[in-house]
Amino acid sequence: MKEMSTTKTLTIYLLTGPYTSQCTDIALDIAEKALNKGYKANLFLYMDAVHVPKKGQKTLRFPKVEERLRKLISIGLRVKACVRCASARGYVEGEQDKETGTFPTTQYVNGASITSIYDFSDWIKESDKVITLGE
Amino acid sequence: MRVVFILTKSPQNSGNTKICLKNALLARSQGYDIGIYLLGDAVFFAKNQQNIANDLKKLLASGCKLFVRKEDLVARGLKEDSLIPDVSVPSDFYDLLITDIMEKSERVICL
Amino acid sequence: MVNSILIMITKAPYGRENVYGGLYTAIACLERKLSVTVVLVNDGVYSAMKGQASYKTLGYPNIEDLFYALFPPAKIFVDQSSMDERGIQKEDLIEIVEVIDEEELLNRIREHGEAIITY
Repeated sequence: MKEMSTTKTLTIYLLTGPYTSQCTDIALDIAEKALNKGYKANLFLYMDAVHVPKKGQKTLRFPKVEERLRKLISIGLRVKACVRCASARGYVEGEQDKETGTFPTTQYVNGASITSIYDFSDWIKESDKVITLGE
Repeated sequence: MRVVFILTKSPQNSGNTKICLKNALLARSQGYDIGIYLLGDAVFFAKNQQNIANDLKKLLASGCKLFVRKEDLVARGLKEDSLIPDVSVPSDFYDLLITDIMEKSERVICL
Repeated sequence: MVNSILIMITKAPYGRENVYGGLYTAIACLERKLSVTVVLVNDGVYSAMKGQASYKTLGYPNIEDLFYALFPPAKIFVDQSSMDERGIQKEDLIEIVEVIDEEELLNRIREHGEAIITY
């Protein structure tokens, strides 16, 4: 991994779910390249993109989004999903944890959490660049 | 000021085509430094002999740089010799893109 | 670090979730003291039409109300050429929007678009 003198942060904002759009794979490609170049990378999931961290994805012919996401999380990608969108789609399983600010789910891969949209605003403030991908 | 456009949707299907082309040309005329990255279905922007080809050629002539992702061309059966002349097909598209947005550009517009 | 955000809405209201996404994000960013500019282009100009009654007929939250929740301090701009293409006049829109041309759009991007989010 290349050392950067000051570590800049890229936040990727994804609006589409896995498999329905190449934008999801593009988001992961960009995250991977950014991390490999020594930047910090955040992935905020909105609308149908909240399906991206769902466990148990099985595909025969397409690149496995869940597997890629796990790998990227292991090399430093921070992943958060909007609670309003995740709740609407059935992922939120309880009340907000007061300490962490996250909402519980058993359906996501480890390292991906459900949080409020305010966390996205906070990430925007901390970032050097923000990009949007999806329909 | 450097402004980068990142396009992922096909040109004929996307209302955003006009936004990008008009704004890029206007910005260039006002002295902005412009880069346009084409990936996913947006690689079709770079195909020669379609009705937006002249707009792309104008952009290139004005000094905008267009970068096209090779893997997306190959996937779609689009040969490099069928592209508008002077578009760049870099060997590592994402490396160039990340360096541009993180180190060089001041505004990034994703369409 | 980013202090200003420009939210570009390109889709029509109600047919998709996009406009809600843009406006809820705008509200959250205002809460976190970011400067927020909303720009409506292409089909996004439809979302500023006045007299919307979505709750009555679709059971969906009213987007017109969301604009009023944002302004002020957020500013809302509508692209003239997108309006012209769609036969929309200024009188068709809510009062709190300002109609701009492409040169003014570029100025907004330059002045307020440290982060530009497209819906």
